[in-house]
Amino acid sequence: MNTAADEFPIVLQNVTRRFGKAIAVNDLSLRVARGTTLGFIGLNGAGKTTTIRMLVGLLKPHAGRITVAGCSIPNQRDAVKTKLGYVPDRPTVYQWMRVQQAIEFTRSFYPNWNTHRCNELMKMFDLDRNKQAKHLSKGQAAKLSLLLALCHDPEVLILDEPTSGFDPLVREEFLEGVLAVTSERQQTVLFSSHTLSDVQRLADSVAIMHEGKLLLHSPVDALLEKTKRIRAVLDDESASRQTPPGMIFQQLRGREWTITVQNFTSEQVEFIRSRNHVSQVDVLDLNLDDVFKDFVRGKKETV
Amino acid sequence: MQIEPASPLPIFQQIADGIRAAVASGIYRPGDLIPSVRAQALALLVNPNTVQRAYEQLERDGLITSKKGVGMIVCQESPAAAKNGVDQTLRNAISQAILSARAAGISRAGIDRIYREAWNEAEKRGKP
Repeated sequence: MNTAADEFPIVLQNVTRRFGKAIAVNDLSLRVARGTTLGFIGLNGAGKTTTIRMLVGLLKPHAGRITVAGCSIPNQRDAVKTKLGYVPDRPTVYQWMRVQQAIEFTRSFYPNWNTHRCNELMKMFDLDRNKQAKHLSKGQAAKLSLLLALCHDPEVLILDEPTSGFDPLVREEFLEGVLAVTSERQQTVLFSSHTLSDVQRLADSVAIMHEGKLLLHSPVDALLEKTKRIRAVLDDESASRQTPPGMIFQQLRGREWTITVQNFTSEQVEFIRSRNHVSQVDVLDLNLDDVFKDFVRGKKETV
Repeated sequence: MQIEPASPLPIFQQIADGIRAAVASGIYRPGDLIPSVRAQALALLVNPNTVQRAYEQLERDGLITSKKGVGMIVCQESPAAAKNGVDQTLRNAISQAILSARAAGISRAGIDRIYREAWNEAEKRGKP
């Protein structure tokens, strides 16, 4: 038994994928620990969906190794099927099928289909067996996708922007559905999202992608505790500035100078105070949205 | 209890603060059962590991304790401990507000005046 696969049901090692000359995913290494949820974030085109499509075996990597639930991808694509649940960014159910037909159709692919769980979820999601897929609301269609991804009790669940385009109520119901299932069975979850408040709710840790590369992978709580914005007022805004170690982004607005730093310590504040002519130095907390934007903006600036 | 996911305060801390406030104000009394990790996670729509982390902090601080076969209950000496915790949370909130005020160039006297006005407004709103 491979102990690494036991501890980390999702592993990417030096994975690269190109489309023509463009590098969509560039030497990506990332692991997700068992029973935890990873929020996978980044701007459009950062490489999130390409990564997800490789994880579920729909795209081949050009370099590197991928292991999901102990199976090597894409070689053991068939073996992983029974252990992996996947909710794509748009529903893939045949529109002419009724809910019950879609369930039976999907069940035929899974020897480990759990009918009891399926009935439970039907009840919880309040889905009508006789309704045709094309007549389902957006929220109902998404819940059907989730149900179809969960009824074989997968140990790994992968969701690609599951709540994009939902109204607040449907979003809430969908999140409730995900939590109800994942909370009772120590599932390992990876989900991509642009809704950082959802990431803050659901994720244990967060991975930020930027231009095909992994910018950062950290527990959410530690990231919020250790990323701070230091704000100082410059005596002379045209004077050259000494920036502290650990800086990820800085901005100058008139005489107000803000510096976002990672691995915050009071020494960084001291550095700013002692090496620049500044007054009123304050330290401000950031939410995940701000942290994400400053990491990405900082990266853009240096390019 | 309400969770503000857009807040800079980690969610586990918001949950711990919320329960502390509920104990300090008597919503939960010594001996009361608090919701299970799973029930709380579903009610607040947050990751159960996050709730678990909040409960671990409250347990370390002596506010709650696990009772075999029952769940987590509020300790006898909890209200006093909870009050200290609530004081600390309030201090943090006020110091953040002071920082923003200073950033806007408001003096200490100005902050004192605004505080008194805000207090009076809150009093008025609290009246039936």
